[in-house]
Amino acid sequence: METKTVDVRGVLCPIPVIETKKVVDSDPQAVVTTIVDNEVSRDNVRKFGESRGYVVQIEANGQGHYITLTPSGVTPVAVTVGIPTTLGGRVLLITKDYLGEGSEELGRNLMKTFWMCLTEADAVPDTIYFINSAVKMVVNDSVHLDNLKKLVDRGVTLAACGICLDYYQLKEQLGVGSVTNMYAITDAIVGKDLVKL
Amino acid sequence: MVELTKYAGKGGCACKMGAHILANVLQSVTFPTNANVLADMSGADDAGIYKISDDIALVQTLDFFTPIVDDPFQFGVIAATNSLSDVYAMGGTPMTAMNIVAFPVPLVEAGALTAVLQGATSVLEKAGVAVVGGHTIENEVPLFGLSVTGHVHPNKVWRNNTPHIGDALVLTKPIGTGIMSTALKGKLFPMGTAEASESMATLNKVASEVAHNFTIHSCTDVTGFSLLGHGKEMAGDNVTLRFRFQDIPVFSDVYEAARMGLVPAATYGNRKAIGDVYFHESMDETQQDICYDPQTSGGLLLAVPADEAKALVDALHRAGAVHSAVVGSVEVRGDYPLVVE
Repeated sequence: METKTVDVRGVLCPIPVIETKKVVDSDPQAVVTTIVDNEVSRDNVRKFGESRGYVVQIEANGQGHYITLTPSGVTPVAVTVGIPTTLGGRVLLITKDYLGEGSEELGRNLMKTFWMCLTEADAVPDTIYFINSAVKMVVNDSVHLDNLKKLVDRGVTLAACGICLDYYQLKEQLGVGSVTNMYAITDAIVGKDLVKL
Repeated sequence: MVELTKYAGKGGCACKMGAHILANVLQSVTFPTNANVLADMSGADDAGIYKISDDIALVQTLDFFTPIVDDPFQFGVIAATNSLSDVYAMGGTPMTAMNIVAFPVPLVEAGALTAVLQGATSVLEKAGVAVVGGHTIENEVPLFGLSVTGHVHPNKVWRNNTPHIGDALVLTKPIGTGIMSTALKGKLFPMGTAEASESMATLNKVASEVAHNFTIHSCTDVTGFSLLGHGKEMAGDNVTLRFRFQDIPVFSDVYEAARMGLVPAATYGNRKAIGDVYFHESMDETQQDICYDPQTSGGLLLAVPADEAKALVDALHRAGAVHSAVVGSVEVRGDYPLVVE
């Protein structure tokens, strides 16, 4: 039986419910496991599942709460936690649009290679934040757009700092991911397995 | 079009700090006072009252929050309405206001702050309140609110914890703004969210003026701590408030939205902080969540002698507060300060 996964760690209410709803609405007969990182989202997704008549199972490990919604009439299967498709809780903070120190020209090429490698990596981070000049990579005419979209397809959440987009006057050109703010970024990176680039 | 809620740190959920968190801080600090202070935060009142003379006392309050709606004008309207509410809840009349502004420069340059202030001004004009100043700082997350000063007769202050046994409880607006604000983030339930937006933009002025013609033993405005949180303050240590859930007005779609998990984080915080509530066994989790829903610019909760309650509600309906209803009663203190059935 097919199980669909909705990984909404790192985002706040009501997004976990909304994202779960989208998947459930598209295929009401699927078994859906939503992964969240806080109790409020866990309880809200549980409520959503119950309201739709699903059998709801909840498990937790160090990487999150796993809420599995099984259509009634389908025998609930054991929930398997601990083998998420992502690197569980790892957050990437990208602070500029080139990689490393030294030649920026080299750094820009390295960045392009980096995204390409990441799209093909076995494990991907679950959230990538873009701040300062890094936001230039998530806009419509960015050379990185295709690779970043592939990451989104793999379940990675991309979020760009809103103030930074405003500063570079790029808000209207956001091509992939969502807009966030420093509160959300701070919340998401403190205490997490963070890699800064 | 600027979408203000994208900048709200709490993802659009109610941003008020939980009472249980704040309590530890307030216990550690002793604030100065003097003999002319008739009400301050020690009594959990809605506003401070300072006696100037035997005939007149100042009512002072301030309120500000992060954006709860996307439209800047509407945010200004709701913030101003909410800020004035505490003055009305004390039985006072607001006179002057000062703007409290923290905003990111790019949003200011995009015209958002202008719209916020225009929205606030539209409310202050209706309330007859003059703006006499303000203070503005740069901040990544937008914040807006007002400091409001009003007047009240020192002997006619409506306290929020002085209901009499036998009183009826009258609520002047539906509840569910927290749940509907959460639904708005998901672009769900347009009818209920529109009703909530309109309600949040409605001043408690009319309700307060109508109530002045009746015997008001106690009054509070229902805001972030929810109907039950503010109800608990009203119950104090001496009485029990009994609410009848079926009589509590709620916006369209609130039950369905709460049932599907569009429940703001502060609801869970309120449930944790309020504690002692007896829910009748017939009440499901969703109904309980609605009772704990944090309100923005909520209505007045009035304790009035039971034999005046119907006349008060009728008068409120005639004056335009059409959702006003008797929602419960004040009883001898039982095992719990709050009962919902």
